[in-house]
Parts: sequence; C-alpha cells; structure tokens
Amino acid sequence: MVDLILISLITILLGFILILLIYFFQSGGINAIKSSNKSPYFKPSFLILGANNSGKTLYFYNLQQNDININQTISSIDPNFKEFILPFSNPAIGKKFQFVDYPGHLKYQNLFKNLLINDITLNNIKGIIYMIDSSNSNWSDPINVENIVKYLYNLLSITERKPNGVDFLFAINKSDLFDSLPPHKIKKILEKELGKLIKNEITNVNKNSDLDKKSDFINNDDEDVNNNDTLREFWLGIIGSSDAEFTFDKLEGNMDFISGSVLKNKISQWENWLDERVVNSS
Amino acid sequence: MSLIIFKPSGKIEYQFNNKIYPFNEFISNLINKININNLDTNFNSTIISNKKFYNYIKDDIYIALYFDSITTIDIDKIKSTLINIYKTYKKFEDEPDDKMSQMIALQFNQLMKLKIEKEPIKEKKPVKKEVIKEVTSKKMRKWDASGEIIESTDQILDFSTDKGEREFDFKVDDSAFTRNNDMVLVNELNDILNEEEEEEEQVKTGFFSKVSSYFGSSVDIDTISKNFLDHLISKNVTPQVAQEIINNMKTKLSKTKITEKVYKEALTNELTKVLTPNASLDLLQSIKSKKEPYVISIVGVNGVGKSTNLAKLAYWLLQNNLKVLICASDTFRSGAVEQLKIHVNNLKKLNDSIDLFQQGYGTADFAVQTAKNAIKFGKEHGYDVILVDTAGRTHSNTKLMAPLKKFGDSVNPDKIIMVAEALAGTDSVAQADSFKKAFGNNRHINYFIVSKVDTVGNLMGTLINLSAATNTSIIFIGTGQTYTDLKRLNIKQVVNSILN
Repeated sequence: MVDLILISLITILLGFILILLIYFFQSGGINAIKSSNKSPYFKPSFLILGANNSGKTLYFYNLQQNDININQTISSIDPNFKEFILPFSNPAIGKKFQFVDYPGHLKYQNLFKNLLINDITLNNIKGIIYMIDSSNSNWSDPINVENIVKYLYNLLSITERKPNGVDFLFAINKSDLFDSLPPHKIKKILEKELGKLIKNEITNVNKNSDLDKKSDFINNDDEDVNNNDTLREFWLGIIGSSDAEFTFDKLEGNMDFISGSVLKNKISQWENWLDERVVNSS
Repeated sequence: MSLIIFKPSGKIEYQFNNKIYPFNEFISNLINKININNLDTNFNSTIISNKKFYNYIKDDIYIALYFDSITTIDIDKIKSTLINIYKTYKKFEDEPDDKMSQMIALQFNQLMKLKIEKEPIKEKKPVKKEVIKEVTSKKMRKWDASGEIIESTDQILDFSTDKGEREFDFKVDDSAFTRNNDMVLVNELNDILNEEEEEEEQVKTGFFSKVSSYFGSSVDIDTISKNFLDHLISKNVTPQVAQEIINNMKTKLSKTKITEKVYKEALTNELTKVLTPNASLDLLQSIKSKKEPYVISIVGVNGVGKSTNLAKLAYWLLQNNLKVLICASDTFRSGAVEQLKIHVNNLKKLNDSIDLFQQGYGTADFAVQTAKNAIKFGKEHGYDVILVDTAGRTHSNTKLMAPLKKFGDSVNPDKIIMVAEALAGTDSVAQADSFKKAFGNNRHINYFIVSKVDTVGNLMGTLINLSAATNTSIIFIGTGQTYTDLKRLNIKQVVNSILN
C-alpha cells in the first residue's frame, strides 16, 4: 500500500520535472542562458561610416593585407565585420579590435542604431572613421551634403552622450581627384551645416508641442536617445547658449580631419590615427 | 553594357569591364525597392535612365547585368544565361582564375550577340561587318547547337547517332576548334553546365523533427516561413506583401533549416527596414529653408480623415511658430468648407497666425483655381505654409482620379501627403498605388499620414502594406480625436506589436 502511494508521488514529481525541462528547452535551452544579453558583436570596435560611395568598403578591404589588390567595390548591401590586430605599427603587443563597415543607405539607419546601441554598445566604440568623398562634384550637390550632415548629426546625437564622447576621424577620401576639397574647407562646411540643424532643433521645438514630446502610446522608446525634448537640451548643453555658434571643438570627442586616398593607398595617416586610439586607451 | 558578380559585402567577384558605376544606382534601387520588377524568385529587373538591369540572386551571390538600351532579348534567355554564369562561378568559387573569367565573358558575349543579331542594324556598315566576322570566327552556328544542348540533352543524342555527312561536319569543326581556344572553353563549359545539380540534403520530416523542433532545434525553413506568413496575414498584412517579405527572407537566409529564434530576428530586421524612411522626414527644416510659402496638399479616399489630420498638422505647425494658411480646395462635398472653418476658428483661439482661404463650391477646375489663388494670396501676405485640402475620391473611380494629375501639375505643391486609414487593411495597397500613379511620372506622393491607428490595436499590418508596396515613408500617425493626437512612428514598437 505504502509503495503504491510512493510510486504515484514519484510519478507526479517526475512528470513535474519533465514539464519544467520541456519549458526550459522551448524557451531556448542553454543557449538562452548563455547569450541572454551578449550579442556576437559585443566587442571593442571601430566603425567605418559615411554616406554611400565615400569609399568605406574599399578602405575596409584595404585594412586586410591579403586583399590589397581589390581596387573597386560596389555599394554594399550588408555590413562587413572583421577583427584586426591593432596597432598596425607593432602587432606583437596588439589586441584584436572589431571593424564594422556599415552601408550608408537611409533604409538601414534604424538597424544601424540598434546595432550601435544594443549590440556593440557605446562603451565598446573606440573610434569612428567617418568617410567623406572630398570631390567637389559631391559637395556641390545639396542632396549629398544633406545626407552627409544629417547622418553625422544623428551619429553625434548618440555618441556625445558617452562621457568624454567618441573620437572621430573624418577621413577626407579621394584626395587624388583634381577637384578634391581640402580638409579645412570641408570642416567649415560641416560646422556651418551642423550648426543650422542644431539651431533648428533648439529654436523649433516648442515645449507645448505634444508631437515631439514623449507619449505613452507610440513614441515611447526604451532608450532616451530618441527623445526630442531631451535632444534639444542635449544640444543646448553642447553649444552653450542658444545664440552660440557650433564648432567641433565644443564636442567631447576628438574630431580629426585628415585627407587621404584609399585608391592611391595614401592611408598611412589614418592608420596612425587608429594606432593612437589603441595606444592611448590601453 | 556590363556584367558583374558581387557579394552583399560590396566585394566584386567578377567584372566584365570597368563600367560598374551604374550598378551602384541599381543597388540603391534594390535596397529601397524602387521600380523593381520581380520576374521570378531570385530574378528581377529594373530600368534606370534607359539602362535595363537584370539581376539573379542565389546564396548571397548577386549576378547583375545591364544593357545600354532597352532590348528585345527573350527574358528566359537572359535568365538561363545568368543561371549558367552562376553555375560557372560556383565551380570556380574557391580559386577564381582566368579560365573562369573567360568562360563568363564567353557566355555574356553570346547573350550580347543575340541582341546584335536581333536588332535591325541601322548603324554604319563597318560595324556590321565586324559583327559578322566575329560570328564566323567563333563558329556561331556550332555554338547555337551546343546552346540547345544545355537545355535539352535529347538533342545531343540525336546528333551523335546521325551518320555520314553530319559526322564529317563535326570533324571539320573539331579541327578548327583546336586552333581556337574558345571552343576548348565551350566544351569545358558545357561539362560544367551539364553536371547534375547535387540534390540538397533531404529534410527529415515527420514525427521526430516535430519533436525536436519542439525542443528549440532547427526546423525546415518552409514550415517556419508558412507559420510566419500566416502570422503576418493575421496582423492585417496583405497576402501579396506578406508573401514578398517571406520570399525575401528565404533568399536572404538561404538555408534549409533554421531555428525559430534566428528567423524571427531576421524578420524583425526585415520589417524594420521596410518601415525605415528612405527620405528625410524633417518637414520643418524644409519649410524653413524655403523663402516662399511651402505648399503641402493632402489627398486621400473619402472619410479617412483628410481634414482632421490637416487640422492636426496645422496645430503642430502653429506650435512651431509658423504662419499657416489653409486652403479649402474641397469644392465638391457640401459642408467641407464649413468643416475647415470650424477647425480654423478653434485653432485661432490658441494662436492667431492661421487663416482660411475659401472661394465656395464648384467643379474640379474650380478647385485648382482656388488653390492657385490661395498660393498667390499666401505669397502676398507672407505665409510660411499653405495646407491645401482636396476632395476625397475613391481610388477605383478613374473619373475622379483624373483631375489629380491636373491638380498636381498646375498647383505644383512642394509635398503631397496622402492620408490613409489603418483600418483599410488589404485595400490599402490598391488605394496607395492608384493615388501614387494618379500624379503622373514626375510627381508622386511624398509621405503618408496613417490615421485611426488607435482603433486597430496590434493589427498594424496596414503600416507595413503602405511602406512595402509604395516605398513612401510614413511621416505621422493619427492616434485620436484631438489636435494633439498626431504622433511620429515608433518603428520598434510597431514591429514588436506585429510579431508578437
């Protein structure tokens, strides 16, 4: 009699454990526990960004010594990820860093923001290489200029939230072209155009406007990064007062403008910049 | 004309010549899904500035070519050539060498020859001569025969069993081939193309795989695609759009087995991409950078909330210290002007810099005239923005849709915003499509405002439908009855509510 009760109790217990096990496997098993909050891209990273056709992918492949003979690429559809050992000058003491070449298409902006904030995370960003096509034909088209500036503006709105900011290398590419603009000129244009956007942000948004305020229904982002009202205060904090002009010096991160040409392999100065970041941070 | 083989990473695996710049534009169209005709799974085409592009995608390998002019080559011929090139590339994938380049170039040239032969030759004679020469030296006739061999192996048998003269013919040709390097290539090429495609591993079905899928392991991609397809449709996504999205996923993942988690993640990315605008949504900046009044006209089907959303938009613009003129160009429906008058009076209480421009009721031409007068009036009195309300019209009624083109051409608004309701569901694609086409080739709808989003709960499929089918960005969504219920789209939240 006692045995029968015992057996039935054990059966119930076993059944219960089985249910738990099934639940465990269904919800992803061991993998779910392991990779709960770590993305495969969670690594110290350098990002290669910029508008389409600025030369990001070509530069990315030039970083790979064995692919040196690639001299033409096409608009990327997917981002490229690869780890390289930095500093280039002394690989023996080097560490691995992840390089990300992210396509410049507008359609990818949201995915990119996700990658930046949730997967790689801001703290892992060691530096951003912002590629710019320096040819005059590129800069004389207002749509291209808008793309470059808007992208940069959105990027800075995120990276400057990190204490001490993120260092930028403005890689003024295609300096071999006859109509290439010099770095200081490009810096001027960028400052002016960014200044306009910031001014808009500061003066436009009326505090009463519900549209730009947080709302519980649809505009409630998990990160505050998106919120317009704080964005306004954020930019105000950077440039000082509402009449002040924007300059790159006011940003927390170091902003370096260095010209070069991927096609003509004049990229040693950019490599030096990368080496500096690595040596300084370690 | 040119041909390239490339990977999504941007790496070019093969290029026929160095004319690759046009492909950048093609890729940008591919990503934004502008004007892309899906001729078949993995095979699409488009026309960009008189260049006709064809593209074949398989397993992360893109093979694209373009012709400088619109040609009459049979699409099947192009497709089979691209597939053959794919096979050739696959064969040499690990160690691409000159032989691969030669073979691909050969196939591409064959395709080009078809084009040259078919076209009535209008050009100068020397060109014609050259063509013919080339053809004879490469034994075009022979290649034609072997070209057919690729498609039906039966014919090759017929030839070999032939006797006498025919065999003799073969021999003569053969001796010529040894001289001609090309023919050696052709033979080798045929070997590659005739190779049986290895059957992909059979996916085990039945009880066991079901049990293992229950425990979170990989499942057959077709099963999982079907599940998600049904799920999307249940969330009000139009079947065609859902099917297209799922097909894209299949080409992208290119695996036969996959876990549900990975699939869902990929689908989240895909939907996010669909909803992400491909143009700047900074309306305020555009308005401020224009010296003259910025004209925005609102169009849509009857009863979707054009006037209401126009009023909400006006409220938002007023909040941003702009001087707004509302033009009552709905001169058709009785009470339309009065409705706007009430809105303007309400808004005037909050901020005085809003006015109504109206000239009463009349025909379609009168509506155009009213709008023109409003713009003139706005210029004279220094308004920043002119919002033009139009009459609602059913998208299937061509008689009502026709005046839109005239309206667009003569009023020439800076932005056209279409109001669509989230309730529309499946019909939303047809609505947006016909409105998009109604303005002709030079003008199109710039943005959507999706109204009544608060009434559909998590059945937000309409948002996907509109973005996917028309490639037009959603600038605002209407979420209620009051002036403040105009919100920006939170893509993350919409995607989550659709997938969960």
